[in-house]
Amino acid sequence: MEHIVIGYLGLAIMIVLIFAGVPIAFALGTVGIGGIVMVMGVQQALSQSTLVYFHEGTNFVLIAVPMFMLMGNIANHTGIAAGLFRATANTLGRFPGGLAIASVFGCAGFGAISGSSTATVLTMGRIVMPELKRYGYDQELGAGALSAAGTLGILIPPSLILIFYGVLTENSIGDLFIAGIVPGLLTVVLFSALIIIIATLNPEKAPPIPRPAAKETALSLIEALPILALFTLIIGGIYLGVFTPTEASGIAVVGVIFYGLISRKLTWGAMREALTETITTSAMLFTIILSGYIVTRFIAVTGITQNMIDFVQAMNLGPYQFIIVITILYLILGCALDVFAMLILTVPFIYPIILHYGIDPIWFGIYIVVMAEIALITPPLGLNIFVMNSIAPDITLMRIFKGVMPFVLIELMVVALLTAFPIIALYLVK
Amino acid sequence: MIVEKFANALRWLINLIHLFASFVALPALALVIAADVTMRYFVNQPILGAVEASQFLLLLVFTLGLNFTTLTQKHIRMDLFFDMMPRWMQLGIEVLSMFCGIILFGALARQSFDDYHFSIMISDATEELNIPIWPFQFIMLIVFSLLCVQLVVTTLLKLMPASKTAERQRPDVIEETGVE
Repeated sequence: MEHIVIGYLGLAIMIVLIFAGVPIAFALGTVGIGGIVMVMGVQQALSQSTLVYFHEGTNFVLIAVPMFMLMGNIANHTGIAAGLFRATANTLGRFPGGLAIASVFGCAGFGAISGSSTATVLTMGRIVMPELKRYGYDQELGAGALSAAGTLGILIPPSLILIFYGVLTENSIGDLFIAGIVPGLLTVVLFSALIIIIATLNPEKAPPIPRPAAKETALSLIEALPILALFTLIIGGIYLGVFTPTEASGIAVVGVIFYGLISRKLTWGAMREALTETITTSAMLFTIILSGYIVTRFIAVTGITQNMIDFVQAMNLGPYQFIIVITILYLILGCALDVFAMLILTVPFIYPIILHYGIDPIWFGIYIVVMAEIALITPPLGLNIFVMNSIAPDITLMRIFKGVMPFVLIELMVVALLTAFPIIALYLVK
Repeated sequence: MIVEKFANALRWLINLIHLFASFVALPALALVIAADVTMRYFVNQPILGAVEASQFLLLLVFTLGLNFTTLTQKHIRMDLFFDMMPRWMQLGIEVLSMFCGIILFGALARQSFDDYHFSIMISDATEELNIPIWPFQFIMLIVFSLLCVQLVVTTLLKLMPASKTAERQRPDVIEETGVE
C-alpha cells in the first residue's frame, strides 16, 4: 500500500475512533504508532515513541504548563477572584449594565492568572451570578456575558492553549503571550460595548446598582493591587526579556502562594487540592501532546502534508479565502470537539499550509485561540455553557445559549478584525 | 472477586504514586524553578544544574501523574455520541479504548525496557549533574506496564454486571477509597 494511502486511512481511523468516544490521546497514539509500524516497521515505531516521550517530557518550555496550572489552581482557592470582582464592580458599576461589564473585566483579570477558561467561568460564575440575581439582572444577559467572558482566560496571557500551540509549532511562547494582550483587551472592550448597548436599549435587563462610597471603591482597588502587580511582573518580565515564560511561571507560583499566605486565604486543604488537580490535568495534557507528536511524525513520513498543500494550491485560494475556509472548519469542529482536541487534530495539517501562504505563525496562534473561544460557547459542546449551567441550574441550557449568541457574533467580529488588521495581534510583538 | 481485590491493591499503589507526584515532585519542581530565577536575578548566581534538575522533575511529574489520571478517567474524550449509544455499544467502545491505550502505553513500556538496559550498558547520564538516566527509564517502564494492567482491570470491572462494581468505577468513589 502506498504511504499516502496509509496516511489518509490512518487519519480516517483516527477520526472514527475520536467520534466513537475513545479517549483522544489513546486514539492519536494508536493511529500514530500503528501508522509508523506500517510505514517504517515495528522497531522504528517503538523507538520513536520513547524518543518523543523523553524529549517532550524533559522539554524545559513545557514546565510552564504545570506551573501556570498550579498558579491558577491555587488562585482559585485564595479568594483572589472575589477581590477582583469587588474592585471591578465598584469601579464600573455606574455604567449601564455595569455589573455585567464588571464580570467581563473580572474574568479578564482572573484569566490573567488562571490561564484556563473553565476555571475562570467556574470561579467568577460562583461569585458573580448571585450578585446579578440580587440586583435583578436578566439571567440570559448575565449567564451569556459570564460564559463568553470566561473564554478570555485562554486569550489573555498566561494561556495554556497558547503554550500548547507554541510547543506544537515550536513558536516562541513569550511572543504568543505578548500577542494575546491586545486582542484580549479588544474583546473585553467589545463585550463591554455590547453590554452597554443591550442595557441602554433594554434598561429592565440591567437595572442600575447602588454606587459605593469613594472610600469603599479605593479599598477594593487596593485589594486587587497584588493581582495587578503579579500580572505586570509576569507579562512585563516576559515582554522586557527579563525572564522566559517558564521562569515567569515559577515566579508566578511563588507570588500567588505568597499572596495566599499573607492574606491568610491559602489553607493546607486548598493547597492539597491545587497540587492534585495540577498533576492530573498536566498528565492528561502531556498524553495529548505526546500522542499529537507521534501522529505528527506519522503524517510526516506518509507525505500527507505536501499532498494537502498541493490540494489547497490546486483550489487556487487566496490567503483570505483560505482563512474563511478554515474559520468555517473550526466553527464546525468546535461544535463537536474539545479545544485541545481541535488543536491537536488540525494544527499538524493546517500549520504547514499557513506557512506556505506566508501567514505569520504568531498571528495564527492568536486566531486559533479566538476560534477556540468560540468553540467553548457554541452548542452542542460549548463547555463554558455547561459549566455555567452547573453553577446556575435554574437557567436552562437553551437560555444560556441564547444569551451567549450576541457574544459569539462579537467574537466573529474579533476574528474579522484580526484577519483584516493582523497588526492587532502583532503590534506588541513587532 | 479476585479482580476486585486486585483492583483495590492497584488503586492503593496508584494513589501512593500520585501522592509522591503531587507532594514531592511538583513542589520540588516549583521550588527549583523559583529558586533558580531568584538566585539568577537577585543574587546574580544561578543554581548549577537547576535547568537539568527541573527538566527531569518535569518528566517525573508527567510520568507519575499518568496512572491516577487514567484511573480517575480524566483523559479527554468526545462523549457527544458516546452518551447516546446503547449500553452494549458503550462497553464495546470501552474495550476498544482499552486496546488503544494498551497499544500506546504497551509500546512505551516495551521500548522503555530496551532503553533501560541500554542506558545501564553505556552508563548514560545527564550532562551537568551526571544523574544516571536508567532510573527514569525504569520508572517509565513500571508506570507504563502498570497502565496496561490498569486498563485491563478497569475494563474488566466495567464489563462485570454487579451493581457494586459499577458504583466502584465512579471516579469520586475511587478517590474516596484512595490513600487520600
